[in-house]
Amino acid sequence: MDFWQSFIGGFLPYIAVATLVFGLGYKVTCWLKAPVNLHWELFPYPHTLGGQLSELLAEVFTLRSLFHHNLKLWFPSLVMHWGIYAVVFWLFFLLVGAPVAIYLGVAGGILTLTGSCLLFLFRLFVPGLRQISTPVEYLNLLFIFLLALAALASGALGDFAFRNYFISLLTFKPHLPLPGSYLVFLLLLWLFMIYLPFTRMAHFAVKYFTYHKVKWGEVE
Amino acid sequence: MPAINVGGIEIEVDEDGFIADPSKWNEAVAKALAETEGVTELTENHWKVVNYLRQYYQQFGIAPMIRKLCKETGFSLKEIYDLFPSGPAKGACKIAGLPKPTGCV
Amino acid sequence: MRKVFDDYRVLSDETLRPDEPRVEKFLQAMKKSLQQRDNWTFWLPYTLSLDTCMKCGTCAEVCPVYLASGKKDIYHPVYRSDMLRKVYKRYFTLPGRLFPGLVGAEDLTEEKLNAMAENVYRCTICRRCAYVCPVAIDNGVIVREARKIFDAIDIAPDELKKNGTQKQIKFGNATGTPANAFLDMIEFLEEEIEDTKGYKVKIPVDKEGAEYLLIHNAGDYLAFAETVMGAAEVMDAAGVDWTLNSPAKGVNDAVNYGVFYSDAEFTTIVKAHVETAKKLGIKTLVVGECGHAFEALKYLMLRLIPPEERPFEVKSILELEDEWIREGRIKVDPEKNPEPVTYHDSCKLGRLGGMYEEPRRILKACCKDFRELTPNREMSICCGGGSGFAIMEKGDFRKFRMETYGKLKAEQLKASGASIIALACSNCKGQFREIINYYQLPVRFAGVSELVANALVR
Repeated sequence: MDFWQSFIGGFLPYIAVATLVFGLGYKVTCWLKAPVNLHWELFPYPHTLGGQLSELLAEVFTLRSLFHHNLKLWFPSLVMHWGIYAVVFWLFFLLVGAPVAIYLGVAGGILTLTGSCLLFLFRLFVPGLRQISTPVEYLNLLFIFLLALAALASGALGDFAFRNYFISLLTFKPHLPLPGSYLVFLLLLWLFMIYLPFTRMAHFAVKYFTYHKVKWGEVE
Repeated sequence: MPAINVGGIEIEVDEDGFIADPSKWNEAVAKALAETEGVTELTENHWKVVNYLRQYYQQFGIAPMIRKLCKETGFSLKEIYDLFPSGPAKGACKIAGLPKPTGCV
Repeated sequence: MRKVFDDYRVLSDETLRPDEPRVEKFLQAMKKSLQQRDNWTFWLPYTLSLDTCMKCGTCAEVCPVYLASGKKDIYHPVYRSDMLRKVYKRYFTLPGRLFPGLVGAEDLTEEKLNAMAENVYRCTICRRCAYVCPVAIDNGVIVREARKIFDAIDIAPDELKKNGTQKQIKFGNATGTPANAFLDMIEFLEEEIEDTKGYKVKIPVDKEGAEYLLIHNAGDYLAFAETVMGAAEVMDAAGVDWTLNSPAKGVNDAVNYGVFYSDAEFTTIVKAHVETAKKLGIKTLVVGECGHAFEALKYLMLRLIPPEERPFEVKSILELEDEWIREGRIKVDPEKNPEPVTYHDSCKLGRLGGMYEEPRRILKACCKDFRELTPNREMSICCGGGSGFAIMEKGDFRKFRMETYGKLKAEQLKASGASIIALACSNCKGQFREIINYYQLPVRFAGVSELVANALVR
């Protein structure tokens, strides 16, 4: 028991954060150093910072492209993405110490669970989607689903005191032991963080480049 | 290379059915090429177009402008399409033994 | 020609060599395409598109080929990109080498190579898919990169290469028009203008130091002379210092088929265009009614040729006509074009070129009854003539163009009720010429300059 506590609770978190940060950092650096491509804009595109920001926010928070052109996927995808955003805000507010965190956490967990489940089923049963899918697309959704499930089942998302564990990580003196179900959740979370930079789920970072360096041109 | 049969002789054509060696063209070849274009009989009107095309090509090394072809032969573009279903460039030029027109025509 | 992908064949057996081993050379060329140093021009969008497609299928919802074919899986844009992507993963990524089944990595076989070589010539690179993709993944750029790899192993349609870019470098134009024939054409056009319009227009050729050098798609002289005539009348009415050029003075053909399939060919031709413009010492290069020529000279050239080496501006003839009408430099009367007119946004002029309002302002000023197609502008449906498709006729390819892209355009055209469709691109004209014939539509097409010239008040 002790080994798993210190491994999952005390060792992996640092590996996970480091891999996530340096993994994404490395990729972003590569893309930043990429040669400037020939003009390949798509018109019309926003030319001001304000215009670009508003289109970016609309896309991120309403999944506008899906709404306009692929409506059947829009709702499940929106649910899952809002769930993920809520979980991200859960972590932020938890660290900051705001009690609203637990509502965001539980809501986020439920939304992520529902959304990823719906997307998985769509991909399995809609022929057009199934035909273009490979196992890894299903794996990614399954991973997110299991992560959300473990998070909700453990009760960690609704536990304000869980905050203490995260704060303790920042001081490099992890507050152990944790309940077994929390360890399951955390294991999946750390593995997800290690996995993410090397998959297309890093598309949130890729989008900066495909929009701001290619589709919307680059300010000369 | 594909070929068409003209009275027992094999005449080479390219993948688009145009004569590979324009110097091998004659009236019999024209008739055979016309068959490949679904033109079963070459009337006086057909020959008027074919002869103009050949004369212009011999002088300038290229097929004439479609607009000029219409003016000089007195046929409207629609009439040219009626005579040569694939049109002046792909139909008439083919039967007239010109090389396949290149570029955006 | 036997079936290697679908019921059509763009590439002849001589070009494709379907029974010869080419996989190894393809992979070598593909490896180079993934290196920044060797392939910098589109490296970023290319590699990001290969890596980050979320397989959501939003692209398919707007792809003309996929939709019009009845959603045939082989025409799904992701299916096409995956033909290259599966090879990329298998040979050039770690997960693809270790767990191919998991990530959809596949070995490249000669049969798959044949199928890919054909499929990349079913997409016109209209980029409607890239426009709607939530992650801005670009199936069009993947298709172009695949075409470049094929070109590197000598597989390219002869319409684009042997009888296209290579002919253009040799003769100064892709049509193979020698200088004496060109001058004969000009003389004829001057006569035609006088015959039909009643006034004399002198068409200058090879004038050095003129302000405007107008270069048309050389095919227009042969097939769409009304556009050339119209442009000459407009330049003349505007009273500007302009000239055409003959093949004796460099490249007199606006086309650059390298845009479709090869950076090497593209660069060669751009340089030839630049040399031609510099030698004639002109101030503004005016691109005639040709979509990809506008894209090549207005945008793609900018980061290829440093500004000091291209001391001239580039404008589309549409930009000039729009300017001149608005400032009153030319006067037009819309009553002279009384029939209902609609406009098709060519992919290269609209989505890729940003010119939506210029042609509309022109047409509204010159035509009594202008109507829109639906959809239009950035969501305009590609007509299927682009990428040189309009001049590819082998292997029943015309039928493919008519039954997919063409079917959608015919429906749009009918719904608009227009009897004239205004087009500002040669590939579009070639394609619509066939669409109108194939679907027996009571419509004719016209160049924008043709309609402007009709409306001129002199």
